[in-house]
Amino acid sequence: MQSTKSNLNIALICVLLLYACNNNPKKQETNKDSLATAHDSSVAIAANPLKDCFFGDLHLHTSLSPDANFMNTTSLPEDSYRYAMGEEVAYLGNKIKRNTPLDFLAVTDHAEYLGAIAAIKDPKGSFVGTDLYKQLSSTDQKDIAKAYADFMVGVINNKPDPKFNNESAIKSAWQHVINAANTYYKPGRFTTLVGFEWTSMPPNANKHSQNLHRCVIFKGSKVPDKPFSAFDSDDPENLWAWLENARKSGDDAIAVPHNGNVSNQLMFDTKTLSGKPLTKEYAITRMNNEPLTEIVQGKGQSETHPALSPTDEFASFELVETLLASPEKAKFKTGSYIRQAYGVGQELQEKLGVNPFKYGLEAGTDYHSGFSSTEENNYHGSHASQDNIEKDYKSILSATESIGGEPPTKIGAAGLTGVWAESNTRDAIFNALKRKECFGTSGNRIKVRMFASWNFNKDIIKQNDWVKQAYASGVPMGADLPANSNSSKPKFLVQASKDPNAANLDRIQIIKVSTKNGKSAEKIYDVVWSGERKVGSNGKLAPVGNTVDIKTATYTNTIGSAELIGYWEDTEFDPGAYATYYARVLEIPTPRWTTYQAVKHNVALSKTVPAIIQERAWTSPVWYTPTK
Amino acid sequence: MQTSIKRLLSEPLVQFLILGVLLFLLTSYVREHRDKQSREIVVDNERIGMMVMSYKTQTGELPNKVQLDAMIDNYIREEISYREAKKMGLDKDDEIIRRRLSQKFDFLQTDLKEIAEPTEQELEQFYNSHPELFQKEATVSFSHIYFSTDNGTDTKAKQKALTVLQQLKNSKLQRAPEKGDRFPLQYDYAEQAAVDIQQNFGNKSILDELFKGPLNTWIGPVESGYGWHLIFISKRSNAAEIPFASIKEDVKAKWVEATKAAQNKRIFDQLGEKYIIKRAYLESK
Repeated sequence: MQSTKSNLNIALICVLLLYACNNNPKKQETNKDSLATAHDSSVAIAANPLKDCFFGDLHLHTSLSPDANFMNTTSLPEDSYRYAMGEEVAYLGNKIKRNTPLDFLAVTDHAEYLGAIAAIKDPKGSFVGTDLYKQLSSTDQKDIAKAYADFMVGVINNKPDPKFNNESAIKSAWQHVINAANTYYKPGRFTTLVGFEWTSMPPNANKHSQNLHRCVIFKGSKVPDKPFSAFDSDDPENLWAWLENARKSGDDAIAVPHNGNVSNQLMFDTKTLSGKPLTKEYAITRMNNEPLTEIVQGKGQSETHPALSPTDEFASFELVETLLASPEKAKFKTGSYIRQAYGVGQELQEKLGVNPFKYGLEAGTDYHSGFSSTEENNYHGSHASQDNIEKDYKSILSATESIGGEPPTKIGAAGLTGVWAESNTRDAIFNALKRKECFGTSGNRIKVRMFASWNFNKDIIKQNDWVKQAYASGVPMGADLPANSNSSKPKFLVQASKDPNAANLDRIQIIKVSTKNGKSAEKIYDVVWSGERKVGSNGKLAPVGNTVDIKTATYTNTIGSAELIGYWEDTEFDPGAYATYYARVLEIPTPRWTTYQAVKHNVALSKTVPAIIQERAWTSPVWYTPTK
Repeated sequence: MQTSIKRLLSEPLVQFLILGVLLFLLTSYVREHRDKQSREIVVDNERIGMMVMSYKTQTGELPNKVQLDAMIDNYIREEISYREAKKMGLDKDDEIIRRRLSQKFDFLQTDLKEIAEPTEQELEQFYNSHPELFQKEATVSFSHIYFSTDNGTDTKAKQKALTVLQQLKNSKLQRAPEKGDRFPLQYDYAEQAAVDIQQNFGNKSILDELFKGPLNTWIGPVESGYGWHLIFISKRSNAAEIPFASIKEDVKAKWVEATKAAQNKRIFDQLGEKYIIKRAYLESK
């Protein structure tokens, strides 16, 4: 009797197995079908041809990223989406909520060992009881540190450790990422984008990692069954080849390089990673795959450095100068900051015919908490156990260094991407990113527009339908000025409106990088500003003033403007020189997050960072190419 | 002789003995065969193929002869120790093995049956019985007049707003942006949810007023992140159900989800019925 019963059970299992096998392919098909119809509903979303501005984070890690998991981050992509949509979530035992929700979000977990640490630490998983499980789930920080050091060996040498490189865990985590994005996508209300981070950091002679990371963002959810990792290759050219393949069989995708500031001069290098000189084909491939670069994120801005732009009094903003996971300073004289790269790109364009660094601008957080907390007065730390401010505020605010080199105070509450899109849908937002009609901000929702044309009328900005006219007779940010046959000079319209939950605006500037005969120059023009200020004899506009009270971490909007709108003509225009023009908007001075925290906990201000900052936005450029 | 054999064979005892011998021979043959089978370890081409594939996914290259031989030896070792461990009953009472088997089983018995295409009626029924799944947020439609506070003109702006409000009290205007300053965004908004107001105007008194203030009359001044406003609310709709016709696809997706969950539960419940659960902890006193 006993044996008959077990035989029956075996038979049942066999039947189930057969059933399951037969059913699996069909099951997947139905899934795909229902997704397709879900997306089709976006057709009904109203489209604004003059475009609306949407804000989101295109760079965020959850516990599926192995390093975040080591730091005791527990969030999953679902939590990240809920927080971005304005829901309250739990973080390190506290409740957190954004002041203003976001409109879109891409979760971009590391492709390398994606989900593998989460799988090992799963208390219901198959690793329970193993030594690895015990080591990684230990509450003793020493055990974790040892496990992390062990884990990093493979990462730094770019040799996957088979104990972590668990293909089935990676594929199932990737599926998790895709499913979460599909579940939380609400066309017209909230857009989710499927993505991952390709974490290339080729070591230099001293085994210090040089950051060449890229976030990959897909237009839809028809994506390869596994992300491309730096273990597959740490050369961006191979990532681009993979992307080109992915597009053939699935949805469109872009790669977004970030943190040129800590690339050790490699990000915008004038030779390839394998040491060859750049070619026209290289430039075309690079620009086809990478329309944008990240201008700012938690680990600093990559616009420019005070040493590279000595006349720019606003260049010293959120600087991070140490290589990742290393105490070594990053070299940055060339190849690291985008303003300089705009010139170098044009110098290469003179020779190759194509500009390899014709990058539009976006921004993200790169936080490893799972939560895009970019609001200065609502920042809770971004790397879980590494900067648990609510608990460790004293040591964090007084620290002057950390194991990684820079103290956690150096991490900024930044940044966000703003896009000008017809509607809040995957298609519209992805297309806006691809045509570079987008900009980066240091974390606030500053809306900025820029248009260029050969024949704008200067009074156009006084008319209510100026945006319509600007689109009709000019090009928006991210585009090229068309070829021009007459002798007119380029004219620009810029408009910025403040984040209604943040500070007023100080000014809008246009930054011009021009190149002729292999020589590049940068120049900053103040276009429009608040109040009755005048440009001094030194050519500089007087500062806007400062209302910040450091003792109470407060400011008032008694200075600055809610909106700035201006017209500018490049009177120094040389039709024979290549030019990149982008706008920069500055807010009035406000307290940095470190100041809010010091006041809240009644401890001394951090000595590692300024107490006051001027938040800002950077537009994608408009380009001019001389006709030959 | 023949008859004596015949007789002997018809003896029930002898028959029983012969049957016994035959049965013995059969069972010992079967046991021997099984024993041989359980001592046999076959390494076939399929197995080798799996080893090569797994090596390639981990290292990115194919194994050479020495590496493959080592992998085969390793496989044989593992198989022997696995079988010996099973013989010793080491798989019994092991938490990890228990959990793994239970997970495997759960995986196999989830989403077994293809869900049939729902009828319109089924969807409508589902929609009606789950109103909480298909709610629309409360929204407000309004026009506003903006008074800029740029460059420290806060009190002046508020004063100007109050003056304009007086003028509008006796007018029939429902829209009058020209009576204020130029606003960087729109003057007229339709069906805005609270989150839209938060994003476009900030977390200021305007948010509250738009959702609580009286309709069809000019009110204010209310504050936004940009300055002061007079607002004319033309329509407000409370949180409500979204009409079925406009979200059929959404209803279907949620119906499929719910039907799958119900089906999985049913299958498990049927399985559970075969078991007698004794909650001994409730009896012991």
